[in-house]
Amino acid sequence: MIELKHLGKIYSSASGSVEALKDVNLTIADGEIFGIIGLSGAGKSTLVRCINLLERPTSGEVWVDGQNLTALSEKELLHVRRQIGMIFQSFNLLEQRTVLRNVCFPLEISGTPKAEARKRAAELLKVVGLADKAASFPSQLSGGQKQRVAIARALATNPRYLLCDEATSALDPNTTRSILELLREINKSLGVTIIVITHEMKVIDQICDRVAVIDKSCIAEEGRVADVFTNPKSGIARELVLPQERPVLDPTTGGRKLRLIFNGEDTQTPVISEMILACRVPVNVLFADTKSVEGAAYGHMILELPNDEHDAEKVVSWLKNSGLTWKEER
Amino acid sequence: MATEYFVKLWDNNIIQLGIWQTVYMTALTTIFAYLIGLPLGVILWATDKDGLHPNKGVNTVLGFIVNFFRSIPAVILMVAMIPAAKLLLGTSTGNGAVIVTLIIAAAPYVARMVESSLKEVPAGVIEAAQAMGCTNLQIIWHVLLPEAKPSLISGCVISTVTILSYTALAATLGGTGLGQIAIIHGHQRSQKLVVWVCVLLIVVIVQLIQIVGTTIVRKTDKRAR
Ligand SMILES: Nc1ncnc2c1ncn2[C@@H]1O[C@H](COP(=O)(O)OP(=O)(O)OP(=O)(O)O)[C@@H](O)[C@H]1O
Ligand SMILES: [Mg+2]
Repeated sequence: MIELKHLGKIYSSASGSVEALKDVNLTIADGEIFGIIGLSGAGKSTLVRCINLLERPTSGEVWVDGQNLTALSEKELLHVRRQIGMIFQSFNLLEQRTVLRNVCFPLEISGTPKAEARKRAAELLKVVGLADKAASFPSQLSGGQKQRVAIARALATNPRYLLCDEATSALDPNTTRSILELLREINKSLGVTIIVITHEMKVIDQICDRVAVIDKSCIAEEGRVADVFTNPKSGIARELVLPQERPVLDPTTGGRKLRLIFNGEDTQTPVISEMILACRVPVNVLFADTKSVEGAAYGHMILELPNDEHDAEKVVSWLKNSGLTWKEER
Repeated sequence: MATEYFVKLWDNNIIQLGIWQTVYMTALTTIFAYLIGLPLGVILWATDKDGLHPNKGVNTVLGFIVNFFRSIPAVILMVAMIPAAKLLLGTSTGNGAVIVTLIIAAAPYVARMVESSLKEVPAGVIEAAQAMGCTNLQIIWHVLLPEAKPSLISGCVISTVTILSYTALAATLGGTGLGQIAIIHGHQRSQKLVVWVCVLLIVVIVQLIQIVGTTIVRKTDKRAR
């Protein structure tokens, strides 16, 4: 279990000081995949780097398995770090070592005999699906493959925790999905507790059990992913959960435009088809960006009404009685 | 007439000896300059404010000393270091003394060269090693130096060539080698051919160092394939 208690971090330099973390309190249970999401500069990296004390918090305590890391000596800390694996956005592999020797590295450092280290590294490469790349160098791999090597390397010392700082942010959507699947597999089969830092909701969506939303150095909201998604309480969570893209519409053509906003309506109800059937009027869907989370719809949709005044009015009055959230565009 | 004198030097093995002296002074100086400059470069890197073990005092003092020595023209520095050679070797003449002054002149240069190679290693790689629980010494030995190796070797090629030019300058302090032959047998006796042969030989040696160096770098660097 990881417990962060009243964690604070102030970076001070000659040019002033930045408060990167303010009174952060989190408890991460064993075996879960915990997400930390926030916008750029919110303090995500600082937070995750405080967990293994790569960054020393200026106030508060970090407890891992009942041990107060902030009270440990440098030497004791080195030992604890071996139980906390970490992967990064930029992979950070040793470019001059082969893939196999990269995975061996943390084992060599902790004094495992070479032959044993190689055996374990080869097994891990199988786990991440890169057994055939053992003799390659990182420069010969794709981004996704590099991250797999980094994952294997982070798992080499059998850590109980895995910290992932924007581990998929440099990867394309398909590769991201496969890396996240791998992480979930590792969580299930090895029981490794995973902490995922990201600015992308879809990452949280895909693998996390619980999520904390961090905004301007503070935890704005925390809870089960489904709860935060279906009922975001903080402004920042709403902003992150609800799709943000704004479509560009041509105001000079067509009839009136209406924006329908879905704030967790039942996806089982076919709203649009009901509307069209009831009004018997053709409507044009200009734009739609919705997603469903546990049977609830989030997002928005822009409809173009027919040019005929009468037909358009029919739709509007139907909407007024429907209980849906909508507004006239422009 | 001109060729005659050159042939005489050649037949007496003077040119050949000069080549050997230049090569061996360069090699010896490079080795010792690295024995001093490499640790200094690592210390400069590590004590930097974003380094592994920031130490403003050490970094500033060491940086100042290195810059101080580097800003003095090589010949003047070598002259100034003659007393140091005397202190170390008990004599201020001969090749031994020249090599000591050469080493003192070259070590600060090497330190900066090493530091700039080390700075090329991405901070993230160091951070990853820290996250794995490496000690600072493990990071330097198993991460920093191996990752910087190709760049260190390229730097070494440049340093060696610079040191070679220092050895030629050292002729003015009584050092032997091709530089001395060019001065004593060439310039002072108006033997243009001898001067040009010495120049040509130095160019050939530099080219050889360069070719061997780049080949080694290409063979060791696993990044660009
Ligand atoms: N070493 C540092 N020195 C001074 N300020 C820092 C340092 N590292 C981070 N900060 C500041 O702390 C704040 C939080 O930074 P942090 O890197 O944790 O953000 P982040 O949420 O990870 O952002 P991103 O998504 O862009 O990576 C920022 O305002 C940043 O400028
Ligand atoms: Mg970050």
